[in-house]
Amino acid sequence: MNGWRAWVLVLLTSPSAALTPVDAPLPGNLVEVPVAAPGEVFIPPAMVDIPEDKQGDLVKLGRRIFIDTVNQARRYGGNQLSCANCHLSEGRKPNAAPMWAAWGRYPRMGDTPGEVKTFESQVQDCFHFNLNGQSPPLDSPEMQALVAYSQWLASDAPTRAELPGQGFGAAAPLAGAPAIAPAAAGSATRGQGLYRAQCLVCHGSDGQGVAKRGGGYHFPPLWGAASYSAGSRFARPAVLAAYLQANMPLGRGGSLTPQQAADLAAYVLAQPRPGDPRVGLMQRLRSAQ
Amino acid sequence: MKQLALLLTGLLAASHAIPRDWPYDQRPSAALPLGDLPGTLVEETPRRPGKRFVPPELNELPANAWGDLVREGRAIFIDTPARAPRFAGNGMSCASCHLGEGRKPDAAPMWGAWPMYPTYRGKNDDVNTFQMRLQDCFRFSLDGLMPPLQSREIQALTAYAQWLARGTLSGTPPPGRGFVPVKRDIEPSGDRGRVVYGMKCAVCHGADGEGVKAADGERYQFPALWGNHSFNRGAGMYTVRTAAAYIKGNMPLGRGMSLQDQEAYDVALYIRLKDRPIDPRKGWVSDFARGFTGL
Repeated sequence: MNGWRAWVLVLLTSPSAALTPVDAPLPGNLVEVPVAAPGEVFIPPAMVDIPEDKQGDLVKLGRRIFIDTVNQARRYGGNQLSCANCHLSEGRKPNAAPMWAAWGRYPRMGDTPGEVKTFESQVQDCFHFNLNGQSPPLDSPEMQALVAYSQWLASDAPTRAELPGQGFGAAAPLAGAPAIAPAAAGSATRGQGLYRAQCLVCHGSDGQGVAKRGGGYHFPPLWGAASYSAGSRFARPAVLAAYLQANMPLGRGGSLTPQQAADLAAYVLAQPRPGDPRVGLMQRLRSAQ
Repeated sequence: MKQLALLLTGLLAASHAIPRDWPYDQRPSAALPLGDLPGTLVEETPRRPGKRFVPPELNELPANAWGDLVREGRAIFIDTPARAPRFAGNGMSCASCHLGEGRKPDAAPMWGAWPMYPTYRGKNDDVNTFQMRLQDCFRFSLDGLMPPLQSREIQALTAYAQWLARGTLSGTPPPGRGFVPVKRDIEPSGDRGRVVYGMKCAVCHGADGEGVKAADGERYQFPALWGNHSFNRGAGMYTVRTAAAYIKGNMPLGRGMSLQDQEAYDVALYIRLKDRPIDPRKGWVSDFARGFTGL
């Protein structure tokens, strides 16, 4: 029980008592939760550390765009997803591609030979493929705000360093964490059973997710028209399996085996989703024949 | 004196036998010694002792597309007129002021700048990204055109700066960034500045501030300090205190921290009072009116 709750407790239970913080006794039936992925990770600064100036305003705007892309970057968003739907905890959670690790690692080699990805071009790709929308121009306020937010999250993080917890944890796993093996061939049939047992409660029986009232999703849709497109890196089984193993089920990352993650990825990717925006309709029809 | 300096430069180049058309990508980094040192060395007392950040060396770059981009950024940095001709205005390069290929502490090194951006700048009263800061350098200090954010030049320079800053902490100023601190309450005098200029600066920068061109006659060995081939009135160097801080920490070349604050201010004012390209944010009319209002 933290400080302010203790204060509230004092105020509610004994109105006549003096305003002295009291450590309420903890309940006796506590158990120790084993740490799934122990080790030291970088701790980004807290919200209250954002300075009260123009730069701080841009950082706050970037955070709002990050967690509510639907409403704050409406002109570039395609589906109803937000950055924070995958980059968990507002881009802070280790092994969920946290922003504080990404900022210092760009520019870097891209996936295609001879390609160099800058941080900005990676953000553009996120909008283009994962949000199934439009790439924000480099000088747009949305792009500048997201850059400012990421750089602020990376305050005091070393530049161009390999940090534990970066990406999905594959490159530099946390000390003591199980190394993520390359995903084996997954079985969509086994994945369906796993999905019903572990994922359906949040993501829905048809992968439709749980929508928020004001737009966006509490739990993002995993397939269908509102999900990420086939051009996303998450449309690759190995990438999706690495993410699932590191982060899913929510709050219990590391609990799936590599085979289970591969099975789930195979099941999710066997479902329909928006096509790759780089591929035209005729080309899709031709390749379907 | 100028001929002597040129002769010495020529002898130095000849003694290391670097051919004129030597590719920049294969030239050893400024962080590496060029040859064997003579045995008659004395220890020099550091003028500004303290810790400095040491950027990585050029031969640590991998042979891939990213390494190529960084090497290209370095090539643009040290030879901007030839490598970024569509945006460069005067004959200066980035490295004309950012000494040692952007590595020297107290000369606004790139490893000191990168971790501080995006940041608020009073110049345009807005938060600027690193790329926008580069655009300002092209626009004001190089008196040229702003490269678009997606241009190859900006991408390469950004990659070079970010690589130089490897290991610096994001958002934390590394020691040696920017310029050295100078006093604020100093009344500069252009007359005294002229004397200091004649004694300590004219040998390299010329009696009329015209600088010294390199052997090819296009680029500058020592940059022009005023006139049509110098930075314009919108550049940060046009501010007396900024220029004084730069001069104190870096000038005369190789003997930084040898001038008093007063001398640095005097020279800075002397340079400011000379003619140079107008501020591109203003028109010719306001530049003409500047002669009457003194602004």
